[in-house]
Amino acid sequence: MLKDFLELSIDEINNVFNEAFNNMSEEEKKELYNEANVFDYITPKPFTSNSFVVKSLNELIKEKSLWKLDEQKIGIARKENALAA
Amino acid sequence: MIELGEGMLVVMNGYHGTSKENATVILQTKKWKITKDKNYLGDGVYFMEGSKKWACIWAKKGKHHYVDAYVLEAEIRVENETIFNLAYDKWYFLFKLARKKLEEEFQDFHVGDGAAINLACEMLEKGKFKGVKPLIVKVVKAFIPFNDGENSKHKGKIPSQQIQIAVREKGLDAIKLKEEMLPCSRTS
Repeated sequence: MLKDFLELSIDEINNVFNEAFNNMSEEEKKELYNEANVFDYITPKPFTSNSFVVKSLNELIKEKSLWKLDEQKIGIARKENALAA
Repeated sequence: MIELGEGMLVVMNGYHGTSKENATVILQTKKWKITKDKNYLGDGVYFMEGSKKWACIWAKKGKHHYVDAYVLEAEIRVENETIFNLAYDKWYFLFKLARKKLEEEFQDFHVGDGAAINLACEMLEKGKFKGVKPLIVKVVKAFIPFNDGENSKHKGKIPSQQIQIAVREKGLDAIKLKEEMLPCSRTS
């Protein structure tokens, strides 16, 4: 018997949410984030002088698998990071 | 609220602040542009509930700074259970879980609140929660308090606040637009 979301307790919400992610493959996560337009709502944090030395934006993008970050956004991010550095 | 069998139909009075030109186009075409505002309620058409004043303030002082600000009024009708109401514990908890997850996933990025709301809505709509009925969220709603500042003459505990509504259902059938556009005066 399926429950309505508002019938769940806080603990149950916590459990079903975490279970959903535990059972999700990386591919499924990518698809979910794409469909939820998550990438329209995240922006790179400006690098501090220290972190700028440690990581380049390209490495960061590769590491986080920002598959949907297009060239224009990468350009903006680079500009912001250059200004912050 | 109106009884509708199992659910309750909620009718909200919404005000949408925009420019005179945009308001005219919306009235003529009945088509809305979906906003993606990073720091607010995710994808949707935004309204201020019950306040023309806040809609005008947003139109004049928000990101667009419209000099010819106008407001459109609409009734927004949805079933109570389809409202992602951030004033409710369960909805806010779900929002916080989604936000935490995204912050863990994208540690070197600022994650806008809209990302977390979109993610939570998508998971509900796609039936990602085991044992839970899929649910299409039609409206996201939040009460947003504003600090009046130390110099305010108001000394009470209740701050100034606005109620934001983002209508996100596909087709936007919940929006019943009134055939009139209201100008924002200098003081409104």
